[in-house]
Amino acid sequence: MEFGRPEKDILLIDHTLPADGRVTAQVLSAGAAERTKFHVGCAKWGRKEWVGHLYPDKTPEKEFLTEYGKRFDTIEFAASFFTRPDRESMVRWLDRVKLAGNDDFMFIPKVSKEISHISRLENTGELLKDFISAVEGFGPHLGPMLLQLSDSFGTKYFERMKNFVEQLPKEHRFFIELRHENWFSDETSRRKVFELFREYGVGTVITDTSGRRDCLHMELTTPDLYVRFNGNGEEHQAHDRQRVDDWAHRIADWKGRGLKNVYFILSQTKELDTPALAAYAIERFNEQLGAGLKSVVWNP
Amino acid sequence: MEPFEISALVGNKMERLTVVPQNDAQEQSEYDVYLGSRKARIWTDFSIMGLEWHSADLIAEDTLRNIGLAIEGYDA
Repeated sequence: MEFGRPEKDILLIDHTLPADGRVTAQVLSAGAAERTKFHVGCAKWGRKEWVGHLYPDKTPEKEFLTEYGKRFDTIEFAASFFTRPDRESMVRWLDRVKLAGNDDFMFIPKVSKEISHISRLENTGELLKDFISAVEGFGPHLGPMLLQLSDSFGTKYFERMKNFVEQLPKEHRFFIELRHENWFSDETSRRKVFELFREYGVGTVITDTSGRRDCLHMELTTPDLYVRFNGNGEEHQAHDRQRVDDWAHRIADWKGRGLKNVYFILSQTKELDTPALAAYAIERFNEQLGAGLKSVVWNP
Repeated sequence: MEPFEISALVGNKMERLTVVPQNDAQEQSEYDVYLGSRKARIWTDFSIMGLEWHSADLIAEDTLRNIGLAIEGYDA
């Protein structure tokens, strides 16, 4: 089944944000951060459906990234998950963003599935080194990296995970998305894995999707929040916005307790409405949290 | 990676397709996509537009794009 797709009526699902995780209470205890930096964006830039709606009429595909960069500061870069990245391609995309004149733009590359899904973190030292060397082509626009693990990568792989995390280079920041249900349902494994991430300064991804509420673990292992928010769109748009409002309330609390960075990435099964939901999140975060993000400019 | 199913617009009809990842592909992602007994091999590559989907089999451009987006959505 498609990850996170709900098997029952969305409105019958409890979308309440759970209480803070145990590790969060340890990590966020140092008082308010001097400044919380916000990064809000989408998981795609190249949607033809956005032309005439978000992008100007008749925008050619090769200009989508530049147009995206004029409107958002962050992209979760999934292409590097599907195809092994090369530095030259990264530099070409960086050039497209430079045309947007957005000095704050950040690429968050998703680690190649060769590493996460095929090798499953085993003997991946050289692959990871090559991956990092390639995405360093983004230069100062390189953000943290997202490592998503398969929903078949369960707690029996803890030692493999530990070896991998121990060897991650300290000069880059990583956020790990866990999907196998045992990481959340087995209390011992849950505690061990989040403690491991905290010890090595690796962030966690909190996945907010209707069909897998267990992934909403609310554990921060560094003073940074990375949310992958999957909206349902269409007739559920108001409900999606309520869920964003709930996040704004929680972030306000965490901001007062030392939260340093917020990465809030939005997607939907049908991506047509994703920019509108992202624009709503930006407005809410600006109004309620003083995020200081620029408002999204729509096609006039 | 295990086989999985996606829904994608093929022509004008939403179809349920079986996708078999080719795990021996290293630099790019390759999949065999089945609609009944019909099979197409598709793979990814980069272009200035981002991730692109290709096939050497006879498959309409829009259909290929729809299948690619559905696979991206599944794995996202």
